[in-house]
This record gives sequence, C-alpha cells and structure tokens, in this order.
Amino acid sequence: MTSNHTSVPSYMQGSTRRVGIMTDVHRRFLQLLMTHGVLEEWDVKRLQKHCYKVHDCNATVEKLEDFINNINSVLESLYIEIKKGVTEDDGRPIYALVNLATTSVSKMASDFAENELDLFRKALELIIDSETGFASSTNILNLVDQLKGKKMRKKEAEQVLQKFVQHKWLVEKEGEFTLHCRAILEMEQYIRETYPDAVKVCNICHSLLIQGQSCETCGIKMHLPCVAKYFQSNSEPRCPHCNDYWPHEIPEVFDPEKEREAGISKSNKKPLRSRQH
Amino acid sequence: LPKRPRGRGPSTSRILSGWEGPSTSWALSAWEGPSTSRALGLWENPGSPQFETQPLSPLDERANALVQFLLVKYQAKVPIKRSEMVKFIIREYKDECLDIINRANNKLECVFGYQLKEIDPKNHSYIIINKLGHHKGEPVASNLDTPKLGLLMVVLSLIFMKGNCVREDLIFNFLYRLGLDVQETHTLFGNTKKLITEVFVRQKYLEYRRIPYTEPAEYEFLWGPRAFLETSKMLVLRFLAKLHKRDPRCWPFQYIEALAECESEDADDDEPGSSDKCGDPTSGSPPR
Repeated sequence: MTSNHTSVPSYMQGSTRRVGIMTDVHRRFLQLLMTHGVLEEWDVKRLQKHCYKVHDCNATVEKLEDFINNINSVLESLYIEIKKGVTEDDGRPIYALVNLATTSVSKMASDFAENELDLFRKALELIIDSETGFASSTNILNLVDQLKGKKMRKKEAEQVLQKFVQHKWLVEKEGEFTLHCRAILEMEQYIRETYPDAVKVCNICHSLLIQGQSCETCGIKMHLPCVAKYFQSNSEPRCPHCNDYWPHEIPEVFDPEKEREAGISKSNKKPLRSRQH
Repeated sequence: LPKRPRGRGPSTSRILSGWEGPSTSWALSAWEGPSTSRALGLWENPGSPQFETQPLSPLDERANALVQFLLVKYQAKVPIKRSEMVKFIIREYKDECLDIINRANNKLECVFGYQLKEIDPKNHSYIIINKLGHHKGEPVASNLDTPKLGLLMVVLSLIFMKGNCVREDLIFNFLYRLGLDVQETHTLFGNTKKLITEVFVRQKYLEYRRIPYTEPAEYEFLWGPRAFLETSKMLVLRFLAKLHKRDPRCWPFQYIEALAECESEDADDDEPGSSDKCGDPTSGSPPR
C-alpha cells in the first residue's frame, strides 16, 4: 500500500509555527473524526490504528498526543482544531473537531431549519440559566410560540428535540435535557461570548460548566470530574474558596483501565456488514 | 491593502450581512459573530494571544473561510452553488472567486482528502466527494446514517438491475415486499417516502424524473451524479451478490455493464490512493 505524502504548500503556512505533514493517514483520521462528531479517547486510539492500517500499515503508530498536535498545526490556519475535553458526568476524555472561528450554530445550520435552530437556542438558554444544568421538556416546549421562522407545534418540537439528541447536541435524562459533551466542546467559546453573565465556570479548571456541584456556602461550582480529582483521597473535603465542609458525594476519578476490564464500553460500535439472508 | 474597518464585533458583522433581514440569512447569521469577523480579518485584534500568525493574504483568508463553509456543507451532502459561496464568503472578492475556490479546494484536498467537483457547469453547482477512495470499507459513523445508506444501496441496486431507470411504484412495491412500507413513519427513516424522493434526491444520490405524458404525473428514479462519484456499479453488484450469497456473474448483463464502467474508470484513474479498495460497499442491512 502506498501512502500519499504531501507536504503542506508554502502558501498555507500562515503560522510562525512549523507546520506538520499531512498524509492519507491523517486525512482519513480527520474525516472519520468529523463524521462521528465526538469520540471517546479509546475510540480515537482505535480510529488512529485503523487509519494506519488502511494507508500505511508498515509505519509505527505515532503517540496520539503528537499525532493530534501534528494535525492541529496544519489546521491552525483554518481556525479549526481537534479539541480534547472531558465528559461532565463521568470524566471520560473525549475529542472533537472544533471550529474556532464561526459561531456555534454553523455546524447545525445545514441540518436544521431556522425555527429548529431557534428552538435549540431557547433550550440552550434554559440550560445555561438552570441550577442543575438541565431544562425540562415542558419548559422548552412552552417556548414554541416565540420561535423565529415557520410556526412549530409542540408535537413537532418534541421530535426536533429528539433530532438534537440523535445528532449529539443534546442529551435527555428522564424528560430533561442538557448539552451533549460534543456541544460543550464545540460551543464553549460561543456560549461564553453570547451569555457572558449567565455562564457558569468551574472553580478548578475554569472551563464552561453546565453540570456540577456547588458549594452551599459561597456558591462556587466545580465539575464532577474536577471534584473527583481535587478531592481524591481526601477524607475531609473542604471548599477551595471558603473552606467550608464540602457536603456532596465525591465521585471516583475516571480510570480507563477499569473501564476496559468492565467489558464493552458504551460507545463500542462493531463494524456493520450487510446481512446475509 | 485597503484600510480595514475597525469592527466592533457582532453589530458590524450584522450590518454587513443584513442579518436583521427576514428571508436570507438565518443561515448567514450562523457565520456571523465576533469569532467569524476575526477569521475574515474584519477585526483588528492586535496581540491576540491565541493566533500568533503572520498575516495571510485576503484571498487566503477567504479561502480558509470557504473551506469551513464547505466542510459544513459536506456534512449536509447538498450541492453548493458558486453563487452561495460568493454571497456568504467570497463577497467583495468575487472577481477572484475562481482563484479563491481553487485555493479552498487545494486545502480541502491536502488537509482533509476531500474534493470539490462541479456537477453542473451551467449553473455552477458543486458537490464534495471523498478522494480517499470512494470504496469505503469502514464502519459508517452515526447510527443515523448507516440504515439510511443501507436503504440507499438497496434502491441503487434495484435501479441498476432494472436497467438504470425504474418507475417509482416499482421501487416502493419492492420495498414493501422487503417489509418496508414507505407510507408509514419508520423508526429509523421517519417519512421514508420523503427520504427517498426528497432527501436522497437533494443529496444527488438519486434523480427523480417525471415520466412524460403521464396523467396523473408518474415518476421514475435513476442514479444521481453523487451515486456515480461515490460508488460504482460493480460495488452495487457485489453488494447484491453478497446479499443473495451468489456470484456477481449470475447477472451477466449487469456484470458486463459493471465491468465496462470499471474499465473506463481505470483508464482515466491515475490516483495512487486506490489502495483501500475493499469489497465491502457502504454497509448496512436492508430494512426488515
């Protein structure tokens, strides 16, 4: 198998940093990452190996961090990057291709109509303003009359919300909606720029916070995985800001090894083959 | 270089884009905002810590923005008109629009392995195809697409087997016999009839033509330009063969036709990247 080595032409190098080399391995990786939207680290490693197998099976698989940094150096001039994040509920590392230059809804704009996008914005606002990071289906649906564009009935809006879930923009839990980890990764900048006053931020990592724990005395908030790391093996957890006793249950730090031992991970998709009848 | 206006972010961009306007551009509003203005060089942001880049030429800046625009469009799989590119991204540089489109295409190929292909030279309409071998052997991404692609393969193969052109009712009857009633709302496909007659057609996988002199109007299906670019008759035949556990040569006429297409493709195919040919077409089981 021949791999297609093309170095980046000079007119692309708008950066003072040394720009990396793109081969078909990297291109395939980018394509698949984009198609999936967001992937967990374990899947990303599998994906990387797959791309090497297809395009350059004799090469050694580069360390993931370097591999991604290489690609990011090429993407820099396009204001795109592969961003690493962590799921808010259980601290799994995730990766997504994030657009740094355009506003959030650009990726959604081609999949959704004007009124659907507006429904998303309304849901987003409710989620950001909420205490728990969740907005109830009822509250979102009550805003249907305020939507821009074509009139939408509540029944239709319910289906649109499901569409958002399918496209990994929202997550539903018991009739309530919050942002999918993909949305948080992709839209953090947009959210912070658009809702600078309402936005919550984690006291530890200073990133956008949708779900988390708060100190009942001084009100600072922390992501669950940040709480897990900060209070790891601390028998008397205390608020980093006001030193009051931290009243919530301390979650466990995410351990990828334990995850693999537990067997099938949530996002393990087997390749599909056409069924033989 | 002309003096760049001092942008104050959102308001400037909105004025420039006519965002307040009714019809056009909720879509454009997706491209407007402080970050986009930065990307289009409309903001002077000295000492921006994030991007310590040397200034790009305005054509390259527009080409970069166009690449992002195209990537979003790629996911939607709908054709893109040159006029859209000019309206939303190229704007005042429209005299250099072909140059910008070329630059964007180069980056698209070099970085992502995609390629812009003009499918309608009269109306200047383009689609984006995957240069890394349209013979995808890989699991397709989201659960959303795989069953739909499976359905599409079934429809494409039926059209091919029936001589490249099939009446609409034949397709729907065939699907019905497979257990899929296009009139009913399906858990995976939703409005199946709409999926086939509108979505697949819009994405250029299928062509939907009115049969002349029919009253009430009747329609027929053919392969669309994207189907020809992204798959091949041979792949479709192999898909069918696998399904029926038979050899593709059991269908001699179609086999010969598929071979002829392969040979004509090989004749003008000089790409080195065809190493990832796998027998497996975009996979998916036919609907139950």
